[in-house]
Amino acid sequence: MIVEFLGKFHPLLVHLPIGFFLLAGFIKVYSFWKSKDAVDSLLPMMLILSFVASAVSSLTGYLLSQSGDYDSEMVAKHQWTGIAFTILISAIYFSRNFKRFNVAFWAISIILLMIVGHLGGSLTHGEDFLSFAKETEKPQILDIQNAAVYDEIIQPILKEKCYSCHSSKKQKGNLRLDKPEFIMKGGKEGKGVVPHNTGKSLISKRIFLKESEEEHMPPKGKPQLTEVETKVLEWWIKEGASFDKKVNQLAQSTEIQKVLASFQSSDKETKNKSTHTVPEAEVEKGSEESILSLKKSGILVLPVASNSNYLLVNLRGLAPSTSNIGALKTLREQIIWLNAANIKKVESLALILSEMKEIRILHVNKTSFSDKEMGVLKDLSHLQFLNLTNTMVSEKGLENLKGLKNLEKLYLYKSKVDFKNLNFKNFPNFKIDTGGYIVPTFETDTITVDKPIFE
Amino acid sequence: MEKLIHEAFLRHLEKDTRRNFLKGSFLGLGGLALGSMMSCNSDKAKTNNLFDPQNPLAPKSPHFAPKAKSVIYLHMAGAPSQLELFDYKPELAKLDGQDCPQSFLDGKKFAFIRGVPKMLASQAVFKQHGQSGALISNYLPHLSTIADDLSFLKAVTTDQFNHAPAQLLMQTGSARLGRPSMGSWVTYGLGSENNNLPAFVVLTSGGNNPDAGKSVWGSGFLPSVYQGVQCRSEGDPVLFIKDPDGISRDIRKASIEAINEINQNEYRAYGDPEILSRISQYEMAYKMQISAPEVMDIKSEPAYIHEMYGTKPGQASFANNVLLARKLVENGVRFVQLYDWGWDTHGTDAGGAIDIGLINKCRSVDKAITALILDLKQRGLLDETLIVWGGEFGRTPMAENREGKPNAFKGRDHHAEAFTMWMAGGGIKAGVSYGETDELGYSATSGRVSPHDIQATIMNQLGFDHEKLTFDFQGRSFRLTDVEGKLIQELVG
Repeated sequence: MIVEFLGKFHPLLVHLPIGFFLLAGFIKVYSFWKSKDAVDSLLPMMLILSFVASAVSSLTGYLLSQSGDYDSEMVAKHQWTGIAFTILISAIYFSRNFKRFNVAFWAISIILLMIVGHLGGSLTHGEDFLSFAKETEKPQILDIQNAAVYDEIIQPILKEKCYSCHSSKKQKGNLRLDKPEFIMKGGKEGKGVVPHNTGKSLISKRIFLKESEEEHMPPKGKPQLTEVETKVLEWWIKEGASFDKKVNQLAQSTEIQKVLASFQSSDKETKNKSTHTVPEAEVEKGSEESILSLKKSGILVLPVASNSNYLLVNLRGLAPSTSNIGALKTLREQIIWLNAANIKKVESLALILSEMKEIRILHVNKTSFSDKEMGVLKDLSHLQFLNLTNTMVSEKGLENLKGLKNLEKLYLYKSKVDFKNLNFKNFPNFKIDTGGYIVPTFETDTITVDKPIFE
Repeated sequence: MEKLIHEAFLRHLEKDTRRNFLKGSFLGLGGLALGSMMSCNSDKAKTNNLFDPQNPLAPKSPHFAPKAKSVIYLHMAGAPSQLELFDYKPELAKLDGQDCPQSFLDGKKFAFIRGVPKMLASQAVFKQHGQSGALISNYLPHLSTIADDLSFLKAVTTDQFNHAPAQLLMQTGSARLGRPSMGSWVTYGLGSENNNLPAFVVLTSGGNNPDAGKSVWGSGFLPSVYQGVQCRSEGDPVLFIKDPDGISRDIRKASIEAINEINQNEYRAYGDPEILSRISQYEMAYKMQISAPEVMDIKSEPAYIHEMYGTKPGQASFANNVLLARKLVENGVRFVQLYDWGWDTHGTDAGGAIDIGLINKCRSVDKAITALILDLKQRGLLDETLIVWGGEFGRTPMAENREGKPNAFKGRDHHAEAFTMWMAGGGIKAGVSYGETDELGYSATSGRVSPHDIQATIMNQLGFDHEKLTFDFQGRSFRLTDVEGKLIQELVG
C-alpha cells in the first residue's frame, strides 16, 4: 500500500535529476572560460545531488511500475535507460580528473537523459503526444442505421476518451478497452461490461457518477464524455453490448434515435455543412487591384471569413460594367458566393459565370436570367444553392442543372417554370422550392374573443 | 448688440491675462501628464477593437463562413405562456385546482405569487404537427402548419423574473443597464452591407416599448453608431424623410456636407469618435431619404402578400412590422428586432387572461409569423435569415394569486426556470426539439439552455465565435456573452 503510494511520487521526482544535472552541465560549460576555482567547487556537489535524485527517482519509478498499469515493454526500456543514466552520473563524478573520459561520459549521459525523458513522457501522455500530426478525425458515419455499433460508434468513443489510460500502452486498474475480449473481462475491480445490465457494468457505472466523485471516469481534468456519448454507451450495454451487430438490429427508443442521429454525418448533412463553408483547400489571395476597382464601383467584395481568401461578392443590384466583368474574371478562383440579384443586364455577367467554377451560392433572382443563360451553369460543379426566383427561366433551362451533383437547393418561385410540366423525379438530387405558399385567412384570425372559448 | 460685442471683446482679452496663462499652463501640463499615463492603455485598445472611426459601418468578415446573413428577432415582450403554446403537460391537467406542492415553493421567489397557489391546467388543446411531431397548441393554428421548419428550445432558463432585467439579459447579455445589445454587437462585428439603410433596425408594436426601454437596443459602451434605429410603426416609418417644401435635393446635400465639414473640423480638434458617429449618421440620414421611402413602405407590396401576412397598410400592427422586416432583410439589413408588447398574462383582467387575452395576442401574430417564414422560404432567403422567437421568461404552472387571493381571471405569474423559444432558418437544423421540462413544466430536466447560450448560437450562425468578438472597455475585454454562453450544438448540426 505505502509502496504503491510512494510510487506515485515518481512523476514529480523525475524532474529533480533533470534540473540538477542540467545545472551541473551548465556549470561545466561555464567553467571552460571563466575562472575555474569558484565554479569547480560547485560541480561535485551538483553531481552528487543529481545522482541522489536520480537514484530516488529510479526507485520510485520501479515502485510505480509494479502497479502494472503500464505497457511492460516501454516500462522496461524506460527503467534501464534510467538506471544507466544514474550510473553514468557517478561515472562523471569519478572521472572528473580524466578529461577525455569525462567528456565522453557527459555526452553519453546527455543523450541518455533525453531518451529516458522521452520514454517517460510517452508513458504518461501517450506515444503520440510529441508529434506534429493533427488529431485524426473520426471517420464519418453516412448512414447511422447501417453502421456497425461497436466498430463505428462505440470504439471511436473509447479510443478518443479511454484508450490513453486503458489500452496496450497503459492499463490503469488492469483494465484494457481496446479489444472486445478485454472489455468483457474488465479490470481488477470487476467486469467492464455485463450485457443488458448497466447497473452491473463498471463502465456505465463509472461514467454516470458525478464528475466530482473520486471514482468518476474519465478522471477529473481529462476530456469528458459528452451527453450523447454517455447515452449511446448506456444504450449499447442495455441492448447487449454487441460487437458485431448493426445499429438497426438493436431496439431503439425515440430518444436514442435522436442521440444516434447526432452521430450521423449523413451525406446530406455533410453537404449541408459545407453549404456555406469554404472549400477545404485554401486559395491564393485574389488580386487586390481587382477587389479595389470593384469596391470603387459600389460592389461589395469581402472575404467569406476573416481567415480566408475566398470571396463573397454582392453586386448590390448594379449591372457590372465591362471593367467590373474583367475584375470579376480575375477573381474567379476566389469567388464562392455571388449575389447578383436585381441587376438590370445579366448577359455580360453570364459570359464569365461559366468560368467561376468555385461558386457555391448563387443568387440571380429578380433578373432577366433566362434559359439562354442557364447553359453557363452547366459546369459549376460546386454549386450548392441557386436562387432563380423572379427570373425568365423555364423548365427547359433546368435541364442544364442535371449534372450538378452538389446542388442542394433550387428556388423557382415566380420563374417561368411551369410546375405542371416539371417532372420532379428528373431532379432527385436537390430540393426544389416552387414557392407560392398560401397562409389562408381563418375566420378566427380577425375575431377578438372576450371570454374563454376552448374547453 | 454693441454690448454683446463688447462682452465678447472682454472675454477675448481675458485669454491674455496672467491668471489665465497660469491656469492654462497648469491644467495643460497636468493633462499632458495624464494623457501620457493613459496612452499605453489606449494604444492597446486600438489594436483589439474593430471600430474604425473613419468608416465605422464598413462591411467586415466574420470569424468563419457564416450560415445566416441576417437575423429577425421576434421578441414577445411580457413573456408568453409556454404552457399554453408549446410545452404540453397532461400531468398538470390532472392537478388543476390543487395546491401547489410545497417542494416547488421552498426557497423560491415569485413576482406576485404569495403563499400556496393552486396548480393551473393548460387552457389550450395540443396536437402533434408535421413529420417532426412538434407539439403546438390550437392557439397557433397557422404556425402549426409549418412545424417542420421550426426548432424548439423547450428548456430555456433565465435567472431574472422581472421584465426589464430579463429583457436586458436576453438582449444584451446582462441584467443590468449599460451593455450593448445583440444587434449592436452584430453591427459592430459585421458592419453594414447596405449603404443606404441602417444595419440594425428596431420595430415595436403593441402600444408600449419594452419595460427595459430603449436600452434593449442600445449600443452600451460600443460607439453609438451601432445602436438600433427605431422606426415608427404607424404613419411614415421614418419621420421627415421627405425634403421640406422649398428645399431641393441639392440644397439638402450642400447643407449636410457643410454640417459634416464643421463636424470634421471638430473631430480634428478633439478626436472624439462620437463626432464621427454623428457624421456618419448625417450621411446615413441623407442616403436613407433615397432608399427608405421605397423599402419602408409596405403599401407597394402586392395584394396577395398582404393577404398572406394579414397586413393592413397604415395601421400600427405587429403584422405590418413583420412584413417590413422581410423587406429590410431583403435589402441587406443585418439585424431586425421586433418587439411586441402585451404578453404579460397575469390574469388580473380579461386582456391578461390566458384563456382570453392570450388567444387574441396569438391571433395577432400567428398568421404574420407563419407568412414571414414561408415568404422568406419562397424567396430563397430563409437559408440566410435566422428567425428567433421568444419572450424574456416563461410563466408558472401555478395560477397567480396576487396578494394571496386568486386573480379575477386565469393567469400565470412570471417564471424564470423553464420556458420555450424557437428558431427557424439561418442554417439551424429544422424540426428539432431540444430540452425537456418535468411533468408539470416547472423546471428543466434536460437540455437546459441560458440566454447566453442562445446568444452564442445566434452569433455562431452569423459566423462569430462569441468568445472572440470583443470590445475593450474600462480595462478589460467585453463580449456579448461575457464569461458565459455555450453553443447549442443540437441546433446547429
